[in-house]
Amino acid sequence: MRRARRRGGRCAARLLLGVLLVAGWGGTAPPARAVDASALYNAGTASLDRGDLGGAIALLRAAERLDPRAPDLRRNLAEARARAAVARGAQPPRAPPAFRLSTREAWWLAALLLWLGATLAAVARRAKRRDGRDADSLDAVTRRAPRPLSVSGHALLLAGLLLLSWLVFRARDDSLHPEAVVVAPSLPAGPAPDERPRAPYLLSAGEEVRLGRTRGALVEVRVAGTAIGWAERSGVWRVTDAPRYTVNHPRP
Amino acid sequence: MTGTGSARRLLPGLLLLALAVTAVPAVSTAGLSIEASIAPDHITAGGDAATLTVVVRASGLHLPEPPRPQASGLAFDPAGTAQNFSMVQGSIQRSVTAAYRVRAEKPGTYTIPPFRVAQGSEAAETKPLLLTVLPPGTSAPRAPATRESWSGGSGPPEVFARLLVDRDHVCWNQEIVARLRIYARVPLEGAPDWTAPVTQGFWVEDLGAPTAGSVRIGDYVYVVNEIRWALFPTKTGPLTIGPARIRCRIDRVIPPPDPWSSLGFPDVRPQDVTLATDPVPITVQEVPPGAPDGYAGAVGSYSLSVRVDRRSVPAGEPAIVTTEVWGSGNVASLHDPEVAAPPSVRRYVAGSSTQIDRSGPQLRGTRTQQVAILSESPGTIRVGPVRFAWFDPSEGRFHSVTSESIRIQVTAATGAGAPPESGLRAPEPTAPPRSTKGPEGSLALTPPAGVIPLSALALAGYATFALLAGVRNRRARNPRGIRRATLLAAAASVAAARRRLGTGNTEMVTSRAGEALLAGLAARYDVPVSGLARGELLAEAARRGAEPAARDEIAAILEALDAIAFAPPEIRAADAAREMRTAEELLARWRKELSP
Repeated sequence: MRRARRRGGRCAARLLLGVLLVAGWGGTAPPARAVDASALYNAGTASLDRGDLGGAIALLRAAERLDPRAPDLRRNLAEARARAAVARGAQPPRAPPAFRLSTREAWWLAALLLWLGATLAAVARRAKRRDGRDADSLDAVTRRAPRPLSVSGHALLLAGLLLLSWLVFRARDDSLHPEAVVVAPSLPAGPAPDERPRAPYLLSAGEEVRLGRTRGALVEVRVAGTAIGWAERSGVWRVTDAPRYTVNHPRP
Repeated sequence: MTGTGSARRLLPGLLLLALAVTAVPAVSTAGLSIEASIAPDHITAGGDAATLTVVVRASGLHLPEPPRPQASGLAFDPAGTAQNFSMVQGSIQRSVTAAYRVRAEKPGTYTIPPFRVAQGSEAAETKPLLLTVLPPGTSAPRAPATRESWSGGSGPPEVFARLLVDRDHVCWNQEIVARLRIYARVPLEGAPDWTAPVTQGFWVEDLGAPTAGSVRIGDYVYVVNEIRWALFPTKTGPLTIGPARIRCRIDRVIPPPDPWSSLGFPDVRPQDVTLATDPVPITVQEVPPGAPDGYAGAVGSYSLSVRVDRRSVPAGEPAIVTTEVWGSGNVASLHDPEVAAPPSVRRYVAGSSTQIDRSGPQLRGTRTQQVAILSESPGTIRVGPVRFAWFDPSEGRFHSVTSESIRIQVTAATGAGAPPESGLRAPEPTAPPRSTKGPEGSLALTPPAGVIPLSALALAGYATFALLAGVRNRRARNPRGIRRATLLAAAASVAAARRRLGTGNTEMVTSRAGEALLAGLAARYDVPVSGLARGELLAEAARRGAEPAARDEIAAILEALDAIAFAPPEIRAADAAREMRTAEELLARWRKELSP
């Protein structure tokens, strides 16, 4: 009895600690400036029209984070990706699913799922207690909470937790390895000057990569979670930096 | 040293001599001697000069002048004179030193005749001196101890030179860093005149401007001037670096020979010095066999990058493929890697350049080549892969890197109006720009404000409920607790039955109350209720500790409840209510007995 009580206390303490950590992580995130999706879209479309595929994909990818379901944005981004793929001799990629949530929407959905799930689960337990009090039969005291309500609540809670975990992981990954787009016509990603020589990877404009450590004018390029080499920083744009290259934020 | 300067220096000595003449009786002149020396004894014709020094010493006041040197084919330029005067134990000693710069225009061996002086009955004479004059451009052979050094006085050499190499066993085309250093512990006039070592059989590259520093050797601090070269052997076998030559001018300070000279000024003589280093033997081996494909003689450590200025190009326009090879080694002699292209396209070298960095400890650089690829017909061109191989002598093995092949899409010529080739994707029209503002927000993937507090509240609330439910469940799983709960439920059932007494179905209500009481009895004494008749249940309860009084009380209540079912309707409800209250009190008492 006493051991079970201690175990329950530890579980609750861990859960609360996790909640506090998540809350703390959110509280320490630097405040980001709001940008207009239409400005990014227009800049990306203009880049696409003049053949700057790398810049177009970077700007449209940034706009997609804010307005992922806009038909015009999805169309131009798919066209830019297709043109970039054809230019490097690859097959055009398939279009992403039509229904997508923006990052902001996904965060709120996770919070609402958590709230709704917790509320339903609590209501189910309350209903069980009330049933127990009003019982007119012997098995009333051992009756479980109303099953559909409890299952639904816990399912929503689990879905919210999973979505929240995925969003936290994605945000952390993006802070460590930000998404970027190759804007140079061709960008060799080879070994650093002090590394063993090996053949460099040749990246083309419009290829979507992630970035790692920086060293002087070089940045580590990562593809599919693996570092493939070092490339010049001027050859890639981070998606979060895309507003710098719009009309309101002239390129430095 | 000029004559005016000599007279100025002689004046204090003459005044002192006058004082001595008035104070000291005349002494006889005795102990006449003369010495002559020349250094160096090898010079080049029309080049540097040797220094001839003639010293005449005598006791007494009268001192003959040093004779002026004369030799056929040699030119003697006066470099200065100095007189010294001393008086030791009543004896006056005088000396005069004359220095000359000796030059020759023609090579050969010259003899400087003996110098003779005479005074009174005394005479003195030197031995003849030999001076070897070498043809211009040849270095003077030197004695082993002074081959790389020069010393005008006692102690370690005042100036010496060294030619150092970082390795003497190399393979063909491997870099050797040669350092020519001059060490001087006397001031140098101007910068040394370096003559690069003889490097026949080497490719020579300068490694930066001369540098200067200082180093302590023994008790002396030497100023070190250094110049470096990178040498790459162009043939195998035994080779020789050097000798290297350095010409410099030093300021030589001649210390006064006795305390009386402190009345004069120290003599500073500029002196031209030529130093030559020893030749350094180098053994050059061939590059080992087993070179990979694409090896064209590169030795060192290199990297390769290949890029193309555009991946899609209209027909008839060139795409520029740039190869860059960079690293350490003989970059200037690198062969550019081959950029292979299909025979159906035109390929030509559009340019190449070499950038060499001489600032580091080794020669580094970048070799760049631009190759234009031009196709007249649309389609896909595959260029490369580009391969570059080299031998790394530090690891003793070959390396090679191979780039990915580059695919260049050749579209129809601009303005030709030709449809794209089958398999090529025609660009689709883009959606027009927007004129209205779109949704605003942050591009960062961090949570918006409010999400974290809401999530935390939800999770904290759920955690609290889960915690309380866990406590409640644990309490319910306790056997004693379960029995108490059963008693509670039984009491609730009896109470519910009592409340239904007025509904008309008294038989069923009293029956349920009796069942609840029996269930409570089973819970109180932990008797398995299923399958037992009322009597057996009571007997089992008695066996498990039920007191006779309690057993009789239960039996009485149960009988009363049975009897009520057969009583007249007008008295049923009141009697049943009374018996049920008694049953409730009994159940409450049992529950209290089970309390911890």
